[in-house]
Amino acid sequence: MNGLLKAASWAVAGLVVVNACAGVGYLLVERQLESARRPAMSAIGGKFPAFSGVDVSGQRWVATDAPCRIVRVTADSCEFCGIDKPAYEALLDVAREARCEVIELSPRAGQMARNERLAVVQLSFVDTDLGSVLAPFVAPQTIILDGAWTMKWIGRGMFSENTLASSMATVRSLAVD
Amino acid sequence: MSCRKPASRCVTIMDTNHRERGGALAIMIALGISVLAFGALAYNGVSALKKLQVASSSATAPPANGALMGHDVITGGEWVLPSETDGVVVLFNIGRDGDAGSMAFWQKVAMLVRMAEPSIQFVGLCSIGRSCDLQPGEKLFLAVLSSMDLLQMHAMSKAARQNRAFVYRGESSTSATPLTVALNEQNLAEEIINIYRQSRATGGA
Repeated sequence: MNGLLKAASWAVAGLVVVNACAGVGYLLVERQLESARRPAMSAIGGKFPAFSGVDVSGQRWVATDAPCRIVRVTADSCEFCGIDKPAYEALLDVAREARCEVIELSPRAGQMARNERLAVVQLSFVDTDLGSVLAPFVAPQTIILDGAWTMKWIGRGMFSENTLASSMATVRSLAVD
Repeated sequence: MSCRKPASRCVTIMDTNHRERGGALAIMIALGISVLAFGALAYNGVSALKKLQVASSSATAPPANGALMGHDVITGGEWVLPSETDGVVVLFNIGRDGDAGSMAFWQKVAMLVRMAEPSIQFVGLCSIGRSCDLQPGEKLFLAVLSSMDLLQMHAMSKAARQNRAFVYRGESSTSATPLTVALNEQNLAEEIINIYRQSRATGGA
């Protein structure tokens, strides 16, 4: 019995050491995974590539000289985009007041039904790879740009009370009086 | 329980037995927790490693299966992957003039391939700043797209950096065969024809 207990104690001690090493290894892999998922240039103050595209009705779209732009990645089938809609609509109201241009994109063409709204363009296709600045697989995702395509605010996932307030403040700060 | 020793000694032995049993139980519980923790860490570690492999995979192909679409430069309309099951599509980036992968290069590859297998279609993505014009009177063997959706555009951009093209087979295929864009049009044409014929023999690209 004593021998068995001793062996079990050693096994526990061994497993504690192994688990500690495995835990450190797991954290390292997770950190690498996180940096692999994060687009390289997605930093506030960084440049967003100027792009044009084709909207959901097949019309060519070219950016105007708006003082600010809101890029929103969304899809009709995205559950969290639906839950986030009231917050996004509130941001849209502020964006309209600030005369921003709002560009909605879906990860795949055909994932967004046509929904005409003031100052909002829904694009099916883009002519530039936005994968270096957007995480194209993530919806909802919201990026606020100034008139010179500089990233001023980045939000992945749904808005919280705080992020909605800060995004609205950013849009208001970009408004032209 | 029998105990012939003085009562106080007997109580001590009983206490010791009790403590030993308690110690053994604690060790067994600790062992169980350690094994469970090891299992959880191993499972999470392996799945994180798999995700990392996928995230850093260098051969991401644009999704196919009827969802392959874009804006056609020539027709000015939407281009969608044909749904006929026999249709094979070669998808590629149109490179700079004079380079392997230029418009002239792919025109020649498409012409060579379609002489042997007319059902194979060629679809090129003409990125901003690239020249995708034809010579006057030249017959066009390709569809030329100016834009694609976010995911396809990202995958094509990655493919351009790796000098890759993709071969899709119709609607029934769930995967694309990557091609390395070689310098020689004839060799690339033969490779495409081989992939097509092999996929016809096996039923998928």
